[in-house]
Amino acid sequence: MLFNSGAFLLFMLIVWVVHWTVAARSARLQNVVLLVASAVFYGMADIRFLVLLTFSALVNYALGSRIAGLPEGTARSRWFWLGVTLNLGTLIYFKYFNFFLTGVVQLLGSFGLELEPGTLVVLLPLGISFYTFQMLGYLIDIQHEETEPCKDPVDFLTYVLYFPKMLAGPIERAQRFLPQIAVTRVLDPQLIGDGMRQILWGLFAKVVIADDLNEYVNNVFDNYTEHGSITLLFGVMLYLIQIYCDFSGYSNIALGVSKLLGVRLMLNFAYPLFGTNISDFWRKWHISLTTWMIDYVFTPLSFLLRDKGKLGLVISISVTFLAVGIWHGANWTYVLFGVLQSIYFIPLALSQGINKASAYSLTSRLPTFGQTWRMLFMFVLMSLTFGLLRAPSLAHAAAMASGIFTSPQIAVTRWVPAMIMVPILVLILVEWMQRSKDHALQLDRAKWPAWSRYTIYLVIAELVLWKSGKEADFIYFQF
Amino acid sequence: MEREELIPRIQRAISGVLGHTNFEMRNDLTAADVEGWDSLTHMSIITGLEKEFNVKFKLKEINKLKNMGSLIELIQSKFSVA
Repeated sequence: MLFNSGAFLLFMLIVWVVHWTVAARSARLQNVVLLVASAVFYGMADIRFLVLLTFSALVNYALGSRIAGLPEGTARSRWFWLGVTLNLGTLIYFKYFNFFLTGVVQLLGSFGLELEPGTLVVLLPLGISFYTFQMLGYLIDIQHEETEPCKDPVDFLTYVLYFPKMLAGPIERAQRFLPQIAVTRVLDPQLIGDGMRQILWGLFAKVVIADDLNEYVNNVFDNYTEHGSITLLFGVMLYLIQIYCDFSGYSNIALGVSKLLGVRLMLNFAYPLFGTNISDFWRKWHISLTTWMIDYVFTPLSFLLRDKGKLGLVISISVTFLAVGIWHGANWTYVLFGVLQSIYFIPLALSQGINKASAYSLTSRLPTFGQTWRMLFMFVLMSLTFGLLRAPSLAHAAAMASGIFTSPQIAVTRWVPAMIMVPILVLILVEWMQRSKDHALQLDRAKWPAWSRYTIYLVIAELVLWKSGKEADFIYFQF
Repeated sequence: MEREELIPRIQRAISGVLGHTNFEMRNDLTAADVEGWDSLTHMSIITGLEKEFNVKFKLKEINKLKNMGSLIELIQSKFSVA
């Protein structure tokens, strides 16, 4: 059941009405409604894994209480590490098993030992990378005494299964989420209105732009041998636009849907296309993943290596970005993605130029020449790198890269349809104007009279309705 | 160790990493208020403080730091135990 489908609309309508009427009396009832709805939502996507998910959530719930109940010492550490192993073990089994198996077979093959690999067909539970990280973070926070364990299994299950964020995040923190559902939510018309507008903007990015780019991007990536360098470059740049619109669109819908239910999820994107350097880009892109990685990978690692000076910093950054890359899945393209990001990042970190040059004014109408140049440079660099998330293999990516840089054929073999470029330019323009806001449709009432605001909403809604019907999967579901 | 004694030394350790003293040593000062104090420079500052006071912190203690006030308390606690 995709967010941009009629079935979801009906589902949401039922959940919303029940949540704010019959269940509105207590937090308990509201949470039960959310939990049942989430189980139905996940069950409809993948009934086999609903059992696995519920079971692992309950195991983590029990582990959390167990760890918190023990004094600092060996026993506590043992339970903690058992939890880490179980979570990572499940993730590795489902997501990386075949990758490792093929790797081992190839390695043995290079020593002359031929094996017939009977690859296991391992199906990937939806959302596993997202929910595993949430539960892992929960256990780490308890172990570090940064949070109290959740006292109620229904609340904890609601946290893990909560359908607005279930399939592709944001990777929400228990510390932020649980206190919100511990109290009875009161219907707040302003929050609901804001949520509706955020959903609308998400749908615009997803349905009008991302889905429409599918055909062009697929054509360039699948038939790259037929295209010249400029077209290939168009292809990777439009893929970055596509994955941005798809994922930020999904995130805006998720945050919006959650606001309709009175729960605020964490911001996942802060206009990364306006990033002026690599650090700035990663501060704005998939924020719930990058902050998770900073807190649970980078910080402990750089703490451990703090006596090693710059070498410690380099190692910590490399491992963190490698983890970011591999988080996307089991493929060498993702490994290279992580390696490249750290190569871009390290010089900046060593020169301590992270905060310099990045900040543009949030109120100025236009960026300066220097900022524009840096944004464009970042856009091209990230386009070339994010192509790795789309290319099926390293060989494919390498061939495309060499096509971009060395193809003698400069003539454009396939023009980007103007019908696609117009909404993209509108999105960029609107997001630039609204870059100080949480989402692009938070229009200032003082600047925008009611008639203009409602005209904008109507036009976007019309466009979404006109373009919908394809219901293409969200790209990040595969991660 | 007295608070008045600690503050200039903490300030020195921080500015040694960040290269400026454009911050006030208030209790409610957070890293976000100080230019250049981010996740990358954070650990250098921690190392700088460890050297300045010849103490060792635990990761747990660092993760719990909320602002300058809690940092001062943490350093004081290292001396009251010893």
